[in-house]
Amino acid sequence: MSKPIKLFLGSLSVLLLLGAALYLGEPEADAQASDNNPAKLATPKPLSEFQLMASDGRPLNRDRLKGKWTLLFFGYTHCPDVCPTTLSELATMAGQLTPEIHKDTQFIFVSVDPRRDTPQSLAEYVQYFDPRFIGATGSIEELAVLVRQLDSKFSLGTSPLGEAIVNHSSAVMVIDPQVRYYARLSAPHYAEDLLQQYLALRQHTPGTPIP
Amino acid sequence: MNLYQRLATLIPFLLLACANLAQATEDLEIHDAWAREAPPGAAVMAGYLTLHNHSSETYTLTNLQSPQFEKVEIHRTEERDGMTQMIKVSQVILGPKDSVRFQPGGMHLMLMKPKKPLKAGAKISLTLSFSGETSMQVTLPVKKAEASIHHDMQTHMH
Repeated sequence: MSKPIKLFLGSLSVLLLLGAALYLGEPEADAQASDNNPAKLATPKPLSEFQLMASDGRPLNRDRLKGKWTLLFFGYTHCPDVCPTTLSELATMAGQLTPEIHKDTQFIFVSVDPRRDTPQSLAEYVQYFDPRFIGATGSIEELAVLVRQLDSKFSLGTSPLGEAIVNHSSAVMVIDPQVRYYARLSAPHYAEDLLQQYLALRQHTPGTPIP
Repeated sequence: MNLYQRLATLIPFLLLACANLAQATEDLEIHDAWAREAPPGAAVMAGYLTLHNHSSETYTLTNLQSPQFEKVEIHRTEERDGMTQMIKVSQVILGPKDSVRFQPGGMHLMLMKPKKPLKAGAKISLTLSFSGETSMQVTLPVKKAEASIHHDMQTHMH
């Protein structure tokens, strides 16, 4: 534990000293969207191992994504506009899923603001929107491992007035039950559109296991 | 100058202030005002409203204040460089017959550091000050977001 903490504190002090933004994640040339669904990647990208801590006290890693569809959104709890808007739309959408589909779908909110968010504080935050939502975070380095693989970005900085600045990708990422980055649903997000897009994506995958 | 004379000198200013207020109320109209209930742990709330200018004058919104918050600012959510960012807006110019919408995912009021937690059902009183000493009061009901609220905005987001 001591090494990541040290690394994190190191990054933190650099950030605070410079007051500059740190950019993480290289958005690769967006994989070609498939013909029949603009949100879907032409070739789903298998995710390699990553390790975050979830709001229920268990690790969040590849294993936890296996066998379920995952809708994942990057943000932070001090975000007043886009994050609560998206999470409440996702909660509305979750409420419209049939019990069978809901059973093999998980919703994960990954905070890219480890300066202020902890797995514990995220638990209360995500459950406010839906008791089934999972929150997760990790060190800047740990977060970057996942963020990069999902062609996403985040940056952390400090304003001249000392206020924390957090910028992040706003798409909802879809990961399939084989733990492949499968689709990217772009903002703005509305429950009805999210539902239609998600159901359409599932239909394009014959043989999706429904436990 | 005795006290009454002193007070009398204030009358024109008071009348002017009243006139400004009355004029603003007639010229400007606010509707669809609401604030999103802060989720647990969040020290900032977002407020939304639509501001109409029915007059042929230009109004510039320069300041916002609420006794229930330490600070109120205007921010705009913007997509830049593949990331969502919040940009501080210092003033909003409302041209003749113009209207401005503060909405989720766009320009919004940042209600910072509430003095007491405000749950759904609470009311926020807000003063909007415009250049030229015009000001306007509005009440924002605190709500949990409803999906239906967002839908008619789709056509206004680009």
